[in-house]
Amino acid sequence: MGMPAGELISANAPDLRVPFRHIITAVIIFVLLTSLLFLGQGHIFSFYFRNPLALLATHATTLGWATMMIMGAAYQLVPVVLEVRLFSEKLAMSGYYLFTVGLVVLLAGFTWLHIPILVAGGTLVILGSYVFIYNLTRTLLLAPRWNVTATFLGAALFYFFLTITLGLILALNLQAGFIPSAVLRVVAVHAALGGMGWFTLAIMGVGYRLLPMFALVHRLPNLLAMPIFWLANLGIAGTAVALTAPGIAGAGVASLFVIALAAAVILFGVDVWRIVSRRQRARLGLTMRFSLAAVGYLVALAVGASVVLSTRLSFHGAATALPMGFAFLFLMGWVTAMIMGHLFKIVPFLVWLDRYSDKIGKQKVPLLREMVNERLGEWTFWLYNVGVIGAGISVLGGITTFRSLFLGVTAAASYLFAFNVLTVFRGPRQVTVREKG
Amino acid sequence: MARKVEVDNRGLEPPEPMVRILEALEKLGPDDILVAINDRRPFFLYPQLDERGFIHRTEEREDGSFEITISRGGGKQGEHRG
Repeated sequence: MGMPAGELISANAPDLRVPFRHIITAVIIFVLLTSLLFLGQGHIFSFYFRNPLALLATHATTLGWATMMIMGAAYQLVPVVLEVRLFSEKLAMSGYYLFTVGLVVLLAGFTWLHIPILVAGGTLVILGSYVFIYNLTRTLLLAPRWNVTATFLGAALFYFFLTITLGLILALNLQAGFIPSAVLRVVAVHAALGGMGWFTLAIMGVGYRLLPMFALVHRLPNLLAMPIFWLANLGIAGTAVALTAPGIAGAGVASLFVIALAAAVILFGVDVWRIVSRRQRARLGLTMRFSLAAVGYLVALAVGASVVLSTRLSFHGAATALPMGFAFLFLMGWVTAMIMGHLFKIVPFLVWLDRYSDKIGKQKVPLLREMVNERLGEWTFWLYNVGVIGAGISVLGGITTFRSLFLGVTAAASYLFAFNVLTVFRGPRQVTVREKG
Repeated sequence: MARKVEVDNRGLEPPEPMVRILEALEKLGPDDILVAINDRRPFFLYPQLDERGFIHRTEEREDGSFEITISRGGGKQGEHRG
């Protein structure tokens, strides 16, 4: 291989309108979502099975915020990382419209638990998602060199496909009731595939690429990445089978799969720590802080889940409080903190690139750090995490007074975050004269 | 006389390597060659080099960093030399 592929391809990444549209839509949904969690908390956290507002909040988070964002980021990142052109930019745009229109219909369907609307919206969301999965899979298959990020993303796409397909089956089941018994087990499989298979593997894959880059850590071998990948897959697939067919895999075997998942999560925490401790700059940037917090949530949840399962922990209201609290901390802690941290870097960088890359050397261009308000970002970091930890503990313990306060803090932090990220699109805050030379 | 201009970008945070390369290229003489050393393949630089009519070649060095050799393309845009 005398000639690296990098020189052969110049503009691999798609038109920046593709990721920008996804990012802006997702941030708007995020703000609406934290407002809904604050205003509708009495209903949302009361029970989860067929609770319209809980279903609305969960799917606004998973599809509207997290999936929307991962789709936008993947369209931008995968071509750059894998040195291929995106299979189809047109498909990316049509997928976005199908998904977004479908999402609005789907969320309306959840709000009123109106099954025909739910199924119609769900079908559009699924079509939009299939378009994304197809587009990205074709792109991955074109890659001249495979790497850790591609491996994690490939598996994540497969789990995403399973999750949404199962989701539509569950929506149809609301009407027809063809799933014989223990629908909750199927709901649990849907949640496990989506949470660990889709979000966690996708975020880990992207993290393996971006975290070393943001920390300026170079040439650090990924010794743990593949063991983590196989442990996680064993855990996800095993948990799904154990939940679907409890007769085949007894409780003992099932808890082994959860331990495999927990081990994968803890090893990933070790890897992130390796990256952070080798960083070139003494100061921890916003992205690294948010990422560390996110991994902290995930590790705490993995340890917590292992303890709950092995001790068969039970208390008054545990059947509602435990799944609700775990889901809240997983989505708002692990998934959201990781996304927020990365957006603080990705959005300024892409906007900067879009506006100024053709002007560099010819005229003064702003510095990257002038694109985003770091101080406001630091406030957001503390507010957001205090809010999420407080609200998570309140949900787990059924403490409604404090829950209200902490969900308010979480919502306030999300407004600061949205303001900070969306104003990046308006251009730099102030242009300092660049020192030449 | 042709000069060889060297830009060492190791340890710099993106997009600083790209800025330094493009700024140095603006001062590059017609027959000069610019050799940059980056920690990573500069994916976002390539479209700019093509647009500005430079010829470039990237090679991975033994220590895992990348050496990018850039010269003026003599007016022919987007051409690469192997």
